[in-house]
Amino acid sequence: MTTATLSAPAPAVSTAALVARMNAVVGADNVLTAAADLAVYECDGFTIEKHRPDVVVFPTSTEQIAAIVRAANDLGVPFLARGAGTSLAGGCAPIGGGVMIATARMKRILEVNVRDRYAVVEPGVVNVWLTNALKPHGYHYAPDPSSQGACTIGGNVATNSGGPHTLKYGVTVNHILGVEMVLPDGRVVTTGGPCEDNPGYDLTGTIVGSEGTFGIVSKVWVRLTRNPEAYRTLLGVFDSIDDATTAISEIIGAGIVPGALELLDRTMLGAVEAAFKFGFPLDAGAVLIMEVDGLEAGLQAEADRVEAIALRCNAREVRKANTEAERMALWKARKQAFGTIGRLGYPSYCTQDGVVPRTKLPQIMRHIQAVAEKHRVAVANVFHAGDGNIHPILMFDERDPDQVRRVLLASHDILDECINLGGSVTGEHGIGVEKLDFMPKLFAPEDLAFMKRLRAAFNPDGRCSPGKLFPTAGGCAEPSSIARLKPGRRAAV
Amino acid sequence: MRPVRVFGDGHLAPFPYNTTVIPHPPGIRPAVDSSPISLDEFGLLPVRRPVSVAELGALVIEAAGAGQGLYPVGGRTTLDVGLPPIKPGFAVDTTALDQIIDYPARDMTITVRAGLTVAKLQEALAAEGQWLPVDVADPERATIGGAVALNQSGPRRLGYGTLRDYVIGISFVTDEGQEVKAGGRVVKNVAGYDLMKLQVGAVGTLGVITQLTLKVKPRPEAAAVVGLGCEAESLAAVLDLLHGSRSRPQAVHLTTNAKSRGRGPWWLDVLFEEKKLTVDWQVATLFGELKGASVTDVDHLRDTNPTTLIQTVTDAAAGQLTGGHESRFGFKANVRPSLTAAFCVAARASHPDLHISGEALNGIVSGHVVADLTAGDAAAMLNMLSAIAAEGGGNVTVRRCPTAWKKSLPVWGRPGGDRELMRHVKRTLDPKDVFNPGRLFGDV
Ligand SMILES: Cc1cc2nc3c(=O)[nH]c(=O)nc-3n(C[C@H](O)[C@H](O)[C@H](O)COP(=O)(O)OP(=O)(O)OC[C@H]3O[C@@H](n4cnc5c(N)ncnc54)[C@H](O)[C@@H]3O)c2cc1C
Ligand SMILES: Cc1cc2nc3c(=O)[nH]c(=O)nc-3n(C[C@H](O)[C@H](O)[C@H](O)COP(=O)(O)OP(=O)(O)OC[C@H]3O[C@@H](n4cnc5c(N)ncnc54)[C@H](O)[C@@H]3O)c2cc1C
Repeated sequence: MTTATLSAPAPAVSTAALVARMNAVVGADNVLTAAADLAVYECDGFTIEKHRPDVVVFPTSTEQIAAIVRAANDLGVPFLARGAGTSLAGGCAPIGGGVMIATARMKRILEVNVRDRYAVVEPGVVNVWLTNALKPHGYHYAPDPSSQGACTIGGNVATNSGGPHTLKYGVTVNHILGVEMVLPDGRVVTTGGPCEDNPGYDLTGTIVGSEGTFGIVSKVWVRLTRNPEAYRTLLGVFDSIDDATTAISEIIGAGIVPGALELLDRTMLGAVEAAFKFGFPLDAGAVLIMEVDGLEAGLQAEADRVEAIALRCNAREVRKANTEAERMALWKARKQAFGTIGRLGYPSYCTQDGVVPRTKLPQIMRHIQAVAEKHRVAVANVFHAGDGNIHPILMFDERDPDQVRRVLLASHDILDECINLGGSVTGEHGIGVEKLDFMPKLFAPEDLAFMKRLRAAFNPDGRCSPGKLFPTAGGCAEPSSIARLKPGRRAAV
Repeated sequence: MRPVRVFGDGHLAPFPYNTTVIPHPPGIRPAVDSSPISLDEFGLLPVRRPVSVAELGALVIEAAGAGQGLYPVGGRTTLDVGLPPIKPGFAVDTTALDQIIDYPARDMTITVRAGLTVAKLQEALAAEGQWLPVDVADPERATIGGAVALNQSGPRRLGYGTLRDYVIGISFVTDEGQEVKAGGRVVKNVAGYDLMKLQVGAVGTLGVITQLTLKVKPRPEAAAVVGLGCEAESLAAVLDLLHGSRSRPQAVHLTTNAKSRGRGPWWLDVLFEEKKLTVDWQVATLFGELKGASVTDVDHLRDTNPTTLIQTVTDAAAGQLTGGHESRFGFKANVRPSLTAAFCVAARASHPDLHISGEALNGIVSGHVVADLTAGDAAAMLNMLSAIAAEGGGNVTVRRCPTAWKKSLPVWGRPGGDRELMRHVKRTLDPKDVFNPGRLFGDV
């Protein structure tokens, strides 16, 4: 059985030869080689592991990407794609150096076709640009990661991103109709396109979420979604997290499919309130943003049901966003919550991304609390509660090795409990390099072996984004690569 | 204690999920026909019916070792889809693997063995007010594994999506005889490659699916159907109107009108499933919008049971036409939604006995001919239609025809630029060509 090389082959050529080849493809203006420039690209939102690429190139066309990939193959150096670098799992870490292919200059929206409900975009298009471009048409691109102001569609495709509204509308893969991709050997393939049900294997669906290990996506056909006619956005204020998470199960158990259900705990509220002065109750144990959307007819009755359920679950108050401006302010506070963590006075923090069946939310939240106390770590919570997708934010000072150690222990403890409760260690951020050690906990050796065979079908030499997703040969007994390293400032934003 | 699962080779590995096997409800199991079957007139294949995954794994090892083919069969409703087999071997009937493994209804997920029939699955879900909103023909016989292998869908795909949107976890037996899994039992999960997408629609060529975890939905509170007829000249405009309507139907099903209905040559069934108030508003709104449109007839089909109607049209799309007619030749086209009207009108003009059925806003169109037709007629029809489909990047595949025709007809449509990569995936994951050899690509 063939499995791809897991650690990258060491570059067998001089950097000068590599740079010369890249200059020939994209021109020296589109190539970065200076140490100071490259330093920016040595990690993404996961700052714990740093690897410097030998060169960063900025292609402007599919042909250029293909030429870059062929040159990297000729020279035997690894290569990988980078969008906005907001990955929280180290997906952009250039293990073994080599060529980083930055998509920042491929940012055109090539086509918008509302009648056929699709758009074609280059991979560097920022998520929110597409939704903004669609506004006049009454359509939007449904996956809305909190990082949507920065992250790219190419990055979203690679990581199969989610967001608050994916509870009702589905994650990235549910909205991708086709991709054009430069294969790791430099050939260009198009899978799917504007028509549904392309005959044969669903290669598009298989490529989405492959974390950049199957090739470099150079064009994307996305599905467009009609805007809901109306929204009702409620804020349930609860004395305890337990009550708030019980309300989630009750709302969903009642057969209601909300547009979004997001939870912020007291610690998080403190930070968000300091930043946005939204008027959040600072003494609440937790608040739930509860949004229902759809046609106006019948929506108020649904919102009333949600309110009644929240009150039955001991909400002490349910507030309503009465205007679109109020709704936007609330969502702004939610989506920029991570950015306000600095107000809590810790120099560093680490966001975890686990999933549990949503009825297990009360258990996992209690567990997080217990873990925080046990390891003496401050934790704030803001997450996609309706999907059972937790994001505990562990705060610390990276200058204190003991705190760092405790944060890592606490993170692992939380993720292990997600597995115990029947869940997963990542709902949307990916495995990248961060969670390699968890793969053998989630999957049996034969599961991983089969996944590696699939990778080999696309990426037989392992030259495209090496060192991701699978722990190195043998797998299970490998000591934690994370634990050996020192988390950097603002580890994993 | 952590539950464990037993692999084909007896190796114990931690299984991260709580596994409760819900026993079979007492009752009669359908009689199993274990006499040899013929797939596309390819000799007789003995049928084996494993009762455990371990046994299934052993069968795969046996087939691979003997250089034979293994042909998974579920409810046997669609065994004629695809090219003829190219290797002797045996069929493996999955219907003994039909347990419901776990149904935590409040989490809105269910885990079942792949040989469970779609009807049994829906029955279990209905008991909790839930369902899998994907239409499958002949649900009493069709298995969920077979439906996934063929990526079956029906009218509701407009409002609810297709199986690819519902399969969140999968297990299958690989060419090495091992049961492998991917995904999990939570609705959001990006750990590892998405082997669910790889298997949905793979026509059983990449392994035998043994287990599926599905995301399910609450059943809608109310439903209504608005029917309308129209002439060929106005079909495109009517579809544009439905696309832009303030109402948001869950299905817009187009058919060539049955003669008995006697209204316009094209008929559209527009399905609404939602809260009662929302459904009522949409019916009224659509009626308003249709005033002045070129429609021959608009009717709120109050006497129609939407579920029965959708099942009937799904069965018809699969070739089981009303009146007990069997299709002799059938195709499935995927075209741009905006080309649906032109495609359907051209198709209809090409043969007097072509029954057309389509998900008009998705661009998915099936056609079936009951009457006599020659291979040459079929080839000409496909040629003309695939040219129209190809204009917008679509394709036409053959869903049913006499075996002899499969030598000359483009059964899986005109190969696109991705076909070679598909073959390469097949060669990498099933190098001995054990699973359904020949049926998707001919000889790899
Ligand atoms: C504040 C904050 C909030 C966030 N909120 C969310 C959230 O709500 N939901 C969510 O899912 N994620 C969230 N994330 C994580 C991150 O934004 C997503 O993973 C996003 O999809 C990454 O996009 P990017 O353009 O930054 O990709 P990058 O970080 O540049 O790359 C991510 C991965 O994709 C690969 N890649 C990028 N472009 C391509 C391409 N063209 N072809 C092939 N591979 C490619 C890279 O190699 C890498 O493996 C958040 C991150 C931050 C910092
Ligand atoms: C011409 C025709 C067209 C049709 N089109 C549609 C349609 O458009 N929409 C619709 O809803 N229904 C359609 N159907 C019906 C539909 O295909 C079946 O109802 C059902 O989906 C197949 O399930 P089954 O258990 O009967 O599978 P079978 O007929 O037994 O097998 C179907 C295929 O799936 C493979 N398979 C079966 N089980 C497994 C497994 N566990 N693992 C791997 N592979 C497996 C088989 O090898 C075979 O290739 C059509 C039927 C026909 C005859």
